[in-house]
Amino acid sequence: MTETATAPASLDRDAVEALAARFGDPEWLLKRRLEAWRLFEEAPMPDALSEEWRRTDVSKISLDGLAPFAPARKAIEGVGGLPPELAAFLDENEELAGRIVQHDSDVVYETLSQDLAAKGVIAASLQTAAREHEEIVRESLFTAVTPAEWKFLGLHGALWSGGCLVYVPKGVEVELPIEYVVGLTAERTGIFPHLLIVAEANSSVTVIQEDISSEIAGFVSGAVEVIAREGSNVRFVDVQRLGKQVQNFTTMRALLSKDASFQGILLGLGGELTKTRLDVRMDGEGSETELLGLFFGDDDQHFSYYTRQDHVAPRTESDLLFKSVLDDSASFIWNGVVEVRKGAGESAANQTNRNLLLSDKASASPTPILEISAYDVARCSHAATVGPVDDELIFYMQSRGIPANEAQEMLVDGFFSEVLDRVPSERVQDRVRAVLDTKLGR
Amino acid sequence: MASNDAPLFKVEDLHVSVEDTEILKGVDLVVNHGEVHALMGPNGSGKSTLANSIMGHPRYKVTKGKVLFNGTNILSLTPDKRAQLGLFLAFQYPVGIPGVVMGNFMRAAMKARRGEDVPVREFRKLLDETLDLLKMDPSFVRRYVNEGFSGGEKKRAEVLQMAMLKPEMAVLDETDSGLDIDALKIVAEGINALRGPDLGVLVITHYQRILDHITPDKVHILFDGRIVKTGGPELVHELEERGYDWITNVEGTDASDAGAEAVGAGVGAGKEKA
Ligand SMILES: Nc1ncnc2c1ncn2[C@@H]1O[C@H](COP(=O)(O)OP(=O)(O)OP(=O)(O)O)[C@@H](O)[C@H]1O
Ligand SMILES: [Mg+2]
Repeated sequence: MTETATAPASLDRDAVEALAARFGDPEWLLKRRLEAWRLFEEAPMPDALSEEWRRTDVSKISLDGLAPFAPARKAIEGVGGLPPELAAFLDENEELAGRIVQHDSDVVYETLSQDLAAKGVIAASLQTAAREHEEIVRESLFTAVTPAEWKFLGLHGALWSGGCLVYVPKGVEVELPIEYVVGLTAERTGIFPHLLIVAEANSSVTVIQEDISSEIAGFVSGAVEVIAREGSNVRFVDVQRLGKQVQNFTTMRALLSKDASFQGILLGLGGELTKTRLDVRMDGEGSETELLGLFFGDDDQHFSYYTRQDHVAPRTESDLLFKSVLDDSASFIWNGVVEVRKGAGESAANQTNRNLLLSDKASASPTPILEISAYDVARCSHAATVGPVDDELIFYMQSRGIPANEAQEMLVDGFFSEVLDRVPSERVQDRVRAVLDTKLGR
Repeated sequence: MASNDAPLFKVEDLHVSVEDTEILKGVDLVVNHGEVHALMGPNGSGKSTLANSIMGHPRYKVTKGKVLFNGTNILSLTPDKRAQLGLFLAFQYPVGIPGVVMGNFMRAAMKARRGEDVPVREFRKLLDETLDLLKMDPSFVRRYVNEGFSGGEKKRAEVLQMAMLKPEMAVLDETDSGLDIDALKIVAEGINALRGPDLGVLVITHYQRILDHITPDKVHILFDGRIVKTGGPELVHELEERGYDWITNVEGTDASDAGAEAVGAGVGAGKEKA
């Protein structure tokens, strides 16, 4: 990060090489980047007519004039050293096990408790780790999410930078959360954050990713990979509160070994257009997944989520609960697949999506999809609802003296608390509540 | 205009429609400070419609008449304003409020009723005492309002709210239905404990048994959207023995039996100014 590189002008193959050179990537990594670039070039842009994209206004999505990476950002001493628009989102004194902060294309701050470092835990810039912990990164990077999946992941595979590796050795339990902050201030610049979590057997860890930005027309195409080995316990929280002109495309996937458990919590508040894919593949017998989502849209924010609960092994269990509150002309889409494969007997799956519309112009379209090939599924259920606040509830609350607007706020809080109450960490709960309060203007 | 000698609560020639069907066809009723009135009548006669209209439910359209609370017509007020003035409705079918914890709900309601925050200690104390009075488990406070409550628990929770909010005029819509014998006694005792020279109560019920515990000053019979008979507690026994047929057969001739303040409607009565 010593060069004072100006942002390269255009999105091309040269930019990939320039980026690798700037960060001193090892040869194997550059090769992977170039292969990803090839995939990116071959892949088509999102097709407005396809099932996957037809409810999203793809005319808003363009790579024209997008800078491939941002000028270098200098290292800081703590989150207080970030530009004030970003620092305002974060608490310098947050009790954390570790914190990795990425500002645009660079990781500018890394810290991890000494105690955990001594136990072999790693929380570090992924790009640095590619050199310093090559074995771990080389083995796991792009094993859960791959650049071949679709165009923007190809672009991500070519141009990812900064990033975060969280590695927890066998049997180590990390009590406090580790936080990965992704902060954007670069206008019309591709930012490609990558979080790789590797939890070895019987370890446990909570990682919180914070996506924040200043009021810029930003572009993010990120990836989150979780490798949860036998008996491990991984909790991942994504708090997305990007500015309202940011387009955000993220693919997250967790691979679970035997008896591993994964809890994924998505909090979607910001962004102009958010398209997130969240998959969990339960490869190991007895593995468990819980996916929780809280989404609050207003103005003309658009959120589109695609989830897949993929039961590969027997006796696996998954449960999804997504709730959205939509005001103004915000729109929310959820396509959720439960797949129970032939070998996944005695598995159980549930998916529930509830959407509360606060305005006539707001919309939500949930589509639960079951793909069952196993003959002996233990339980499989789904439910989805879309509707306004129930007038009878408002009337009941009013009859106790509570004004209608306050009643509605309490109902929105209550609507979300059903999800929050299922978040086992009080610290995470408090944090999410605080973020919601800010969004609700309190 | 409000005046000090106005009756606590007065319904005047009230006509109410739901979706263009007239349900209440001119109801007149006066409840003075300290009085308990019972309102009885067959299923579908309009009792809950009256209760909901008094509280201001948006689906019930008042097409004619007045509801005066301490002399002020409250029909133009939103339900929350009516409650803040001291009106209370215990619902026949209380709705569950998912995600809203009883304790927080009560605090918000008390704050609204009093117009200022209630100190935590005072709130706690009042809550504990009231739970105790109604023999309710303290864990109710941490549960979502009415969610997963049994029928009887919901009714007790309604009385709990009434006790905490200290209304001046309470309408209890079949608060006795669904209660077992012991619960009925507890709830009735709870209501009796709240009785006083200032509180007016309208008890809507189908059964004599609650009125054995809470002796009403007056009993009204609602039939097809009109109060067709008003009398003293003895009317309840008569009903219990003879059923509603007896009333409906004599309809139109019983207006003269009605008490001075509650006059059988549909006979052109109830128009005089207070
Ligand atoms: N919201 C509504 N929509 C349509 N019809 C209604 C509504 N509320 C009441 N009604 C109709 O008005 C009439 C009176 O109903 P109401 O609930 O007031 O009766 P009630 O005397 O309370 O009966 P019950 O003893 O069964 O509680 C009934 O015919 C009922 O179907
Ligand atoms: Mg009724």
